[in-house]
Amino acid sequence: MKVKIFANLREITKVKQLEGIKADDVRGLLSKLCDKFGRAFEKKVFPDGKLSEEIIILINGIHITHLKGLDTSLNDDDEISIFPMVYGG
Amino acid sequence: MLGWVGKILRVNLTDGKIKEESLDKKIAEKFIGARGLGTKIFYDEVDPKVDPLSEDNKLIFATGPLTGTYATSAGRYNVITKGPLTGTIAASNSGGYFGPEIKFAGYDLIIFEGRSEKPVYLWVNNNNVELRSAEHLWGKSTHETTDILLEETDEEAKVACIGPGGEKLVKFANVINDYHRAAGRTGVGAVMGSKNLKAVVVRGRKGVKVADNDGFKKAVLDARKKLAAHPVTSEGLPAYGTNVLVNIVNQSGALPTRNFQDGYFEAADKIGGETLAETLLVRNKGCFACPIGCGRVTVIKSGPYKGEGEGPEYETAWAFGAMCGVDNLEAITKANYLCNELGIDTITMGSTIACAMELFEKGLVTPEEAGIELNFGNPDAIVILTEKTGMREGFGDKLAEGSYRLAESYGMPELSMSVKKQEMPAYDPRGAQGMGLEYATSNRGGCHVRGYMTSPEILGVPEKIDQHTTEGKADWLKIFQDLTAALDSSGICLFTSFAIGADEIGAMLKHATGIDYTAEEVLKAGERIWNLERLFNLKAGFSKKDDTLPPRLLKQPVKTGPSKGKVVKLEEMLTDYYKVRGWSEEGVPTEDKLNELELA
Repeated sequence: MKVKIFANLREITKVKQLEGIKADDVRGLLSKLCDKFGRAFEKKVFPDGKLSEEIIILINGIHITHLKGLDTSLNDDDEISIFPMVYGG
Repeated sequence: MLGWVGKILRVNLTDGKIKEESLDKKIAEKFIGARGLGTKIFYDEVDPKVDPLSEDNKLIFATGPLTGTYATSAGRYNVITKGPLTGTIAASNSGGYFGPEIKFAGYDLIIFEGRSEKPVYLWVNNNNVELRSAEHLWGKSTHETTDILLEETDEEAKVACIGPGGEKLVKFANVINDYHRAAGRTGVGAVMGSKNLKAVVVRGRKGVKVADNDGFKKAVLDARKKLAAHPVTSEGLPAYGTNVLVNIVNQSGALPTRNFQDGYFEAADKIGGETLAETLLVRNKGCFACPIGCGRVTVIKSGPYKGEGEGPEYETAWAFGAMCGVDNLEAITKANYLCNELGIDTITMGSTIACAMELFEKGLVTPEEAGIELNFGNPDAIVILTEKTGMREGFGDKLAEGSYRLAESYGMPELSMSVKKQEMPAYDPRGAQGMGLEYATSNRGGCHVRGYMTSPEILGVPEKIDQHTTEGKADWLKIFQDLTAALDSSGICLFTSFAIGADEIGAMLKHATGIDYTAEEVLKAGERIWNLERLFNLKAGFSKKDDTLPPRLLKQPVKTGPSKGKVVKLEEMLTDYYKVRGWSEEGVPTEDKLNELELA
């Protein structure tokens, strides 16, 4: 699967995109990303052990709120986008 | 009066007479200020059927009761008139430092009427007000004009002016203040140009008095704390500006691409806020009393697009970028600089070039006529045609009429991506149904700042709702439209609404004016303003048939990306919306509704 990272999360990950990660669901994917990018990333995504309300995760363009949240299962051809909360206009 | 100054400056450009009038407190209470109060005065004084570019149209610069106070982000003013692009009521909102200076000089509003025989500018030096010749400024860019005016008046003065675009009556000319801030949309600059009014220069030394200093301080600190605590207003906007939206809107399948032929741009990341921060950004910049600082000071150090200035904002990066299929951020930024110097709106400019590109690719516009190969993706085209449009040279003269009139002249008005002849901004409503309803019902034509449904539909604020469904969208939209109308009228920036709402706005208004504005009152005033704008448009000749979208969005599904296969289901949302608004099936406010809002 392809994972795309945006805005200030890139300042932590230093990469814009990752390929070839394998995970069964969103929870598993985030756990792998926390291992890879360390505490700074984990603090953004799971500040008190729970998924931050300030993180937006899209699976093929659909917000995980409209899927099964952290339990949403993932396939190898999925594209996952991870954003901090952003705004503008 | 407190919060408000209580004074209006009325300038008749035909006979040169200038007079001061008192502001009617009862009207101010009901319509707050800026957008609302300016619209109320305009509605009472101007025939809705007026030709926008005739001397019978009026032009109002209006501040709100919070403008110029230390309320958070209180640097806003509105320009109210009948817009030449749309023929609707037009209120165009800008930040910077110019609005507060009007209050410091001792006025809430400046009303211009008539038409000067020769170019003039207004010099407001506290209570000394005079019209001066602007013949030496005619033809000059907004930056040159501002430089000269600061030199010949007072270097501490603030300037709002038009560029060549406004002088040449480009239908989407804007008013530029403080060099880089724009009352951008609906063509208010063309109205200023039609009156031979080149600039308004203001210097004021009076403070703005509020009713209850302690209460006001507490209300402002509370609002500021909320802004400081919010990740968007404390981190996201300062770091990346509004252009941070390019990627999220694209990844959500709602970034209009190549004249809305698609809703996903493959090269979005190259034109987004992250790339801007890595490449052209020098620093961020804030407006008056604003802790956010979303402005982008940028420089292109070398190459064909060399230049410096501010921007691009999200809408601009999209209009010249994805909309024209261009992935060259330097060319986009250069086109932005040119728009600011020429005094024309970036959204309509980009969208009109995109429309011309589609006409070109369909063989309706020839290379000879355009003077350039106009294929989607050509970075030179956006720069060259922007300059030609601002000067009304060659093919630019046709573009200066906006995309609707351009496409119509080739017999294909449906290729204009506009609502009520104003170009829609950077959200494809096939990927965000509520935004479709917002565009269709906006009182000033295609616009995103009249009820920003992107917030709940894409960004998840205040909560995430499904962008692809239609249920409940009318209820959401009504609240957003009413709250925005009230907020615009108070004199603070719309971007504060991410962290604060009607409660906080009501508290600041209450302590500034001494009038008991509750959250409910704030929303009621917003609804009153919304309905008044609607009444103006109905009297100007608009009706239900105009509350629609280009056929492409209703019939032609998105081709790629997350919204593949979607169209806007407008009809069902619109019926619901009229009901929620308390309007008839034809979209006319009922007598009961008008009585309830004290508009009868």
